[in-house]
Amino acid sequence: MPQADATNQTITGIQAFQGEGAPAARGFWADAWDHVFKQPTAVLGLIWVGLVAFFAAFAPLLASGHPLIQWEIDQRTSQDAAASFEREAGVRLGGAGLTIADARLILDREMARQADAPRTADLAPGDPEAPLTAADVGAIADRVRQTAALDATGATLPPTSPLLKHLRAPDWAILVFGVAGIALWLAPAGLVGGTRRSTRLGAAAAMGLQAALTVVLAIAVGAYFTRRDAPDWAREMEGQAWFIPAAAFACAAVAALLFALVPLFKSAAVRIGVVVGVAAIAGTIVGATWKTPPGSFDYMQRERLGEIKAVYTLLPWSPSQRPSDRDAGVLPPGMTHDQALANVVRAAIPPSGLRESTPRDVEEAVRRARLLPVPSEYRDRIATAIETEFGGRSGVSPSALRSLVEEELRGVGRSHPLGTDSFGQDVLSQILHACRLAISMGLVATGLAVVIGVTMGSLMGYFGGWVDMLLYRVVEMFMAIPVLFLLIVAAGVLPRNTYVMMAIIGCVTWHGAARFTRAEFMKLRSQDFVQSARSVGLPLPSILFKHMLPNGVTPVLVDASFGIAAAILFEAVLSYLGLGPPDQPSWGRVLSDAAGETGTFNWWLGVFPGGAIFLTVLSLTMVGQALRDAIDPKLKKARV
Amino acid sequence: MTSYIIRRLLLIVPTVLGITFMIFMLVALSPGGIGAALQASSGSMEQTDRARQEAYLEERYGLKDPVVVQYGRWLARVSPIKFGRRDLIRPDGEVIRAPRPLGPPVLAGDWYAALPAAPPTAPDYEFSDADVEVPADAPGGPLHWLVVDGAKVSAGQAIAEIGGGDAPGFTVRSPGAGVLSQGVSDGAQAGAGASIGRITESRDDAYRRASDRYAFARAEYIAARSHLEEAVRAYANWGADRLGEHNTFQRRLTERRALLDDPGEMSQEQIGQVEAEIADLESRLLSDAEIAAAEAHRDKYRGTISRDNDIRAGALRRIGLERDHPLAPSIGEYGQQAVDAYQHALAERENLIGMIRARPFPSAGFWVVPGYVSIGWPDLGVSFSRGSSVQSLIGKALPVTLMLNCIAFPVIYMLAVPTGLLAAVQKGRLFDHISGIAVVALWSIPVVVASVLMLGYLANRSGLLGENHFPTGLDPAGAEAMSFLPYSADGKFHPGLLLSKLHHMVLPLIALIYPGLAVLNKQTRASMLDNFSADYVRTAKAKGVAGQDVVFRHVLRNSLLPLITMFATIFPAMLSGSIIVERVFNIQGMGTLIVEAINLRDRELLLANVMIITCVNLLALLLADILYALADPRISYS
Repeated sequence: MPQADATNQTITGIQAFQGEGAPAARGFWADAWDHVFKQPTAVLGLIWVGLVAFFAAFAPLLASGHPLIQWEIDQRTSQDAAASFEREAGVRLGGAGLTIADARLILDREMARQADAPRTADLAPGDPEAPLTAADVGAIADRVRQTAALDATGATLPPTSPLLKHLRAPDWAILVFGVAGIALWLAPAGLVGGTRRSTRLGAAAAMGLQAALTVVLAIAVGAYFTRRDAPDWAREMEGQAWFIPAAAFACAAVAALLFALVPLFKSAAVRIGVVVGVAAIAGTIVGATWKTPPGSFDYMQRERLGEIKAVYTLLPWSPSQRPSDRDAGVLPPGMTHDQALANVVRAAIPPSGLRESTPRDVEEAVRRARLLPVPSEYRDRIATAIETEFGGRSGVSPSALRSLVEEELRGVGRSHPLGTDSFGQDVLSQILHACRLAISMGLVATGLAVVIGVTMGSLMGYFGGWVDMLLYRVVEMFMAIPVLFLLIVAAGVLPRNTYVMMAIIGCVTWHGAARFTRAEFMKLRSQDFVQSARSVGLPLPSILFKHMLPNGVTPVLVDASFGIAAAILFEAVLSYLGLGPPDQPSWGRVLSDAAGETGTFNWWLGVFPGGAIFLTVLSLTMVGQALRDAIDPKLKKARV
Repeated sequence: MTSYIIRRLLLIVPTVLGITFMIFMLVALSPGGIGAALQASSGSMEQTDRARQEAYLEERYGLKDPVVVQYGRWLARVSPIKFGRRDLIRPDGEVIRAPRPLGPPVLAGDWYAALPAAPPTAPDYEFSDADVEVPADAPGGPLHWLVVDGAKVSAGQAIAEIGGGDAPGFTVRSPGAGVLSQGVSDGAQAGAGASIGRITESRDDAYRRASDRYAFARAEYIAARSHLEEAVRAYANWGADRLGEHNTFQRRLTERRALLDDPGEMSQEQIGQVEAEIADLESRLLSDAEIAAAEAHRDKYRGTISRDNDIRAGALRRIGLERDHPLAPSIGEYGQQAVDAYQHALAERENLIGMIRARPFPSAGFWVVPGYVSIGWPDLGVSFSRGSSVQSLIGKALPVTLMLNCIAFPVIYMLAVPTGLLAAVQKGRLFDHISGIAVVALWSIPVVVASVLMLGYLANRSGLLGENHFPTGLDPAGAEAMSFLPYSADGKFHPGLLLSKLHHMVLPLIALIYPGLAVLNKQTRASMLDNFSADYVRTAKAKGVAGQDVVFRHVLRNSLLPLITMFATIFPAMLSGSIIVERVFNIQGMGTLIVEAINLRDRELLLANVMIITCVNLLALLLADILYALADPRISYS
């Protein structure tokens, strides 16, 4: 039916036939997404999924125990410099001996921060190759002490960023290529040579995949060379200076070779340029982060001692950050460490019922208070408070002592917004970092399942006959056993890491996609366009994937949205059962900590990760349903 | 219909084969593989103990064979159709099989003592059914017996020997293997058949003893063999090892001499130490003749020990042993020990074979083609982590899982169909909206989250209810003392076993029920609405049929059909769900069993578990199809 436009202009039949007055034709998927965006529940779901994806990408930047910026405060005196020179020289003397040149190197390093440091040549004169004795070292140290040129200035040194230093290759890759990809996609067409947005999206995805492949390869190579039973030649090679850059760029080159074949850009020169550029960036990232320094989270301690000043990001906790004091085990939401610290002092007083506490116990509590790992003014205040309140008294109750110390300690340490788990690790930080595992597990595993399923299903549907019979037995095999059983077996037996887990979930859940594709292809097989494609002698992959697949892939893609939810759920369940990748924050793992072995229930360990799983699954279900309703109105009629 | 069912049943076989093959390969080819846990735990053991451990694993799993062969062996055990002799079944359900052949020690007869020319033969045992039968009034309980002393000794004779003589004990000897059993007669007072000495040796004990002795002898032999192999390796590597040692000494000597050339700040004492070391090293260096001998030895035996430390026996046999070599006596000694142990193990093996040949236990299954093909109960093997037969473990776990599911299923249908019906009838009204929201919410709450939260908030003293109203675990405390049905006594209500068990099951059941409830409710509503708009409903309404009749007689009946097929969707999901539920609520069902099996790498338990679950699942699906055909006359499978 021709539609008249707003001005009620009459048009001729021919004009109507030409499409005048009718809304401009839009793509199938654009229409479908329009329908989805009209559903408020689906929009809410998309927002939540977007939030999870955002945290997946940027959690290492948003929640980290490493400060974003850190200034060291100069506290060194010549006493310190001399002492540390003596210490290091002593160690060296015990081994291979120390020459004057070595002593100069050490001294220069010790006094590097002082512009007017005494010239080391004066302190250690003589032939640079001449060996030093212990007496010489003592003399030099004395002279350093006497110079008194090094005084604690209290000045801040230039800022460094431990956070950026501790980012790993995947973090950098996501940061660089995620931002670049989004920019490329959203850039105005004039800026990027007038290419279409969908082409650019494809290019961004390809660049991201190439970088991801480089990173994965590098991780695999690194793991191979540093595994425990690595052969000697590997160890030797790994120790060489050239190894890291060479390995990084070898990985980048392998990934680039694969992606040089993807025909995304028409001009070969542009294609090769892009691929080489991505390889260069990815190789640099991988090489620079090959050996991440081991993280030690002593910043807070150093801050209290006045050694550094630090600025943290949004959430100053890393998921793997464990407190040094063991009492800080399970802290409820909003709790700082003061309770744990109070427990340290409280432990000096015998628990009620055992015996009366004596003045000596209170003295012990004061002594412990003076040893607390907090700034000295707090320590003194607590000690004084205990003495004035309880000193010389017997029968002090531990709880009274604790509440007193807690009162004095209020505000010491940073709080955990959602509490900690049984290792004292911050829950919110773990939940945020686990987004990456969930999202990547959902996308990669489902992508793998769709690829396997579509390939198998298209073969079955196109050929039919004995191919169908044989392959369908395989599909039946996977249908016959509940997926979770198969997953548990595979995850329990194979190595526990993220990539293997993705592969397992993908390889176990493909049969749904295979069945959909098979049914579609069986319908399509006898249609004219397939017959004609076959009659002109097109190669089989072309018929299957270029002509038939675009016409039959819709149900698979709609199903994939539920598949992502299922994959996220499977990951959570496997992690809950203890079969997930170790050392990787995961919603399921936090959840498994909720019910303690002694029958206690830490609600924040159950509610928050459980809520995250629930909301993600619900959101994906909503989006999937809206998409299915948009694409398959018949189903909708049945459902309404 | 019958042919359809038969075809479906037959199709189960290849499916189960495929799944078990897949799982078997996964377990066998995974890093570490089967038995890795055991082998790893033996890392710090003495060499002898490790040899025993390996012998045990080898005998039980045949781990050194190719994986496909291992799978075939497993299949042959599990298959209900057996070829050849029928196996024996012990009263506790374990299947007894003849021991595997034992390989001779390496290089026997060539480098050291020869193997016995005539291997031992199995002694003749005889078990007679009649002898097991003891008069019911015989004091001392049933008489299990074993007497072998050349001739068969009947129960009567045994009684006469024991009860009639003054000796309080008796001894039975077998020709091959010394003392086989010792029994103690506790019927000391003699009388004409009035008192029978109870012989403590039963068939079971006799078999167990023979099999234990063989296991011990086999382990001894394996240990002796590994000592011998070590000696052979040391011999074959002698030249290379000596030269290597020589080179090390020489290098160290050069270093020490360089140290003396430039003493630097060394004290006199240190110099003295170095000089002593040099003297020691010099005395250890080989002379030229010795070097030549070592080189000749090395060249002669080059390549006889592979890189993986395997002995290439053929090459060594061809080269031969130098009798005057310093290591030759040790080979002779260890070889003699290995041959002795081998002979002993062979004798014990034959003894066991003789014991089995006498068939002390009833045979498994029944003949189809006598002598060739029999049908028997599948032998699921023995779980090495639990030490009991897999069949008994599954026999305990499967009913628990099935019970949970079988209670949950009717509940799901009973709740989902009425609510779905109501929602369809009240389409667009309040109830419909509420139930729609509830369904989506229920459907999206993962079972693992719901279970953990329920456990935390309801089954916990510090939970919402203030007191633990929902105990976990399936077996109530003091279940043995409970009566089955509830009763009340002394004005107090006693729940009895039945109610108490149900009480324990409430939370797990809720966790199992709610996801299926959501799916089925949605499906009921959709299928009802589909039928409401069908022509026959309009006809019925036009005819003036009462609204109630339209809903219940026409629409509901037709809407129920697709719900039967929903069974096929819900059942596997519920089996999966029961893994989580069992884990969270600490229920000893199939889910817990399979997680334990995978954590301990218990291959037999794992495979049997997978097989049983697959069969249960497939049978349930078949049942759904049959029910569908029965319910809907339009469907026919022929």
